[in-house]
Amino acid sequence: MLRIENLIKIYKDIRALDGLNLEVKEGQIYGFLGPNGAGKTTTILSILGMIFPQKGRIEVLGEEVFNGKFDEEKLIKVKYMIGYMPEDATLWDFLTPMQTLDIIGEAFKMSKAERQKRSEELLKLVGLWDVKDKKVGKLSKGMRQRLLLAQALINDPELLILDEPMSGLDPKGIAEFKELIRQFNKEGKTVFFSSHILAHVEEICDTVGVIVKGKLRAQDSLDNIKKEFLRRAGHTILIETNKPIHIDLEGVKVEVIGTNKYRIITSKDVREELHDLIAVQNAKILTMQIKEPSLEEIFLKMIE
Amino acid sequence: MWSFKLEAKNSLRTKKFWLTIVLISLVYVIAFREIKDNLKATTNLQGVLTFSLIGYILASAFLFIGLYVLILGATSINGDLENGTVQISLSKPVNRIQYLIGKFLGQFVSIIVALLFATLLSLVITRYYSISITVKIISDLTIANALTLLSMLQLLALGLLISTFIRSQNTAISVVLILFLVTGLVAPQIVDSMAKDRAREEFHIKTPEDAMKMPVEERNKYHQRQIELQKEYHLRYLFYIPQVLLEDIVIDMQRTTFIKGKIRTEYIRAWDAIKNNPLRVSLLVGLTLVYLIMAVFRFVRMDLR
Repeated sequence: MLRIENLIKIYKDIRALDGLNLEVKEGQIYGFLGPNGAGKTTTILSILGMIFPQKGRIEVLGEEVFNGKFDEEKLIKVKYMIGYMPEDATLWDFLTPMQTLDIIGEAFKMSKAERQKRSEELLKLVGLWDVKDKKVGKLSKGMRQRLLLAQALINDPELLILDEPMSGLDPKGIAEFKELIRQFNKEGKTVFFSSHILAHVEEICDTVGVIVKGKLRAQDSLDNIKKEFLRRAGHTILIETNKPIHIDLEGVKVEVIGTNKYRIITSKDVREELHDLIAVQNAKILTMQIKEPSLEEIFLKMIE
Repeated sequence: MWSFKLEAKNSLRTKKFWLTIVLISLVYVIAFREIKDNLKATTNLQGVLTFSLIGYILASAFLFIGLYVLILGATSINGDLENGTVQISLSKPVNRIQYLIGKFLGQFVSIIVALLFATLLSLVITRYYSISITVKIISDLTIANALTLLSMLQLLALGLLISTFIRSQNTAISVVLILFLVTGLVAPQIVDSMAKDRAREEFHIKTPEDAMKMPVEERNKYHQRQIELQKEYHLRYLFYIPQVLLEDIVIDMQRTTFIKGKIRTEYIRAWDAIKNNPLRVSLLVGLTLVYLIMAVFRFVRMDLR
């Protein structure tokens, strides 16, 4: 559905994209996570041909739109099948939601009747039917975000690209938004959306890509990312004993964090060996706790 | 063209546009009084009226429409980048050249409306003074409007080019205001005074009294030479200022001759004034195309973020 290979974009002396590789498969909800300034928007705008990367390859919906330079014809062709919702755009204040969708529909060469029908459907779907004749400039931030989503859906796209779609929304708005994305995905459509907030992608994404300083740090399901993180970073075991002990196990890092309190970092589960070792030293374990990192911690660790 | 429709709607709804319309109306309030005085002093009512009206269309164009047009152009691409509408537009199957040209033509609609409004006010004045609206008046006003439109288009294209270089709308407005002040006021003043100095040199005039002491015939020749030199210097040093080119073409509509010490002012048709100034008309058209091509060239290579 979407494949990016070795994409490089340099702004003056900043490497915004530093050999980015990623792949989004058909029917996925792909969460593109990364801190501010990691290169998320640059990636999205490159896919849409609005930013000119220096190197790399971009394939969208089976068409190679960029390979060192953009293929304008292919780009226009795939844009008929893409929906894009930018971060924090204002739309045209002087138009009403109905007029906005109508004029966007015109860009896709939809007939008047098609535009009318689709606009009605979408305004009802995003809950803007009651304000369809109100000027966009007078709508609330949440309403405008929903209209931005509606305009991205006007052409019933195969691939929906959303750039920080939930920024500025209240919790209720976020929940509604997530539900809309799920509904869209149920129809077999692919969603690619960026966020710098893990909670926004956690519940709905089946695959996550983490971008840091223009490079993809990880790309997998959240469960697999967590497992991989644990494999690399190791388990953390906190123990407290009744007297001082000496731990000497292969591949185990020990930190003393208090009186008879130890933090053990290990790449495998060493609880049994620990029991034996402590018993040999005639000591007793008072408490033992395996500490698993939260996704938030994994994410923060990754972007460090 | 998709972006044309959008831009035409947009530009007619902006506060800038309506402010321009109000300011043009104010110019014509002044025109009412002044034309009355001009008509009292002549027997060639239609000639004086046509020339005066064209003068007011130009004044509106120079003072307000010109500034409006420059600001409109200079805040278009950067404005769209600031509010994110360019990303929305170009995420649809619209190519960049179509988008930019559509935008240019859409903005052009608002200039036409502003000029038509100025022309309508001219016709109201004509009727007010009970002067019949003849084919000559209509055709002269139309040609003068077309010329004004050309010069406004050049300013629009220049503005558009500026908007592809300056990312902030506020900075672009500041640059445009300075540019308007320099090209509309400072540069012409300097160049005109250079032309006057040259004329004085040619006629060996050292003080203002020297000119007063000259025989009438000689003095008239001196004034005529001053005008010639001004036009020549405008072409040499101010060829990139459309208002100046336009003014020089329009000045040619009023031909002043000095016969036996008497001044005779004759009004020629606007079309003849154009025929007498092919280089100026070519510059109006040519530079517009140059700016537009440069703006397109720049826009198709711009990172839109």
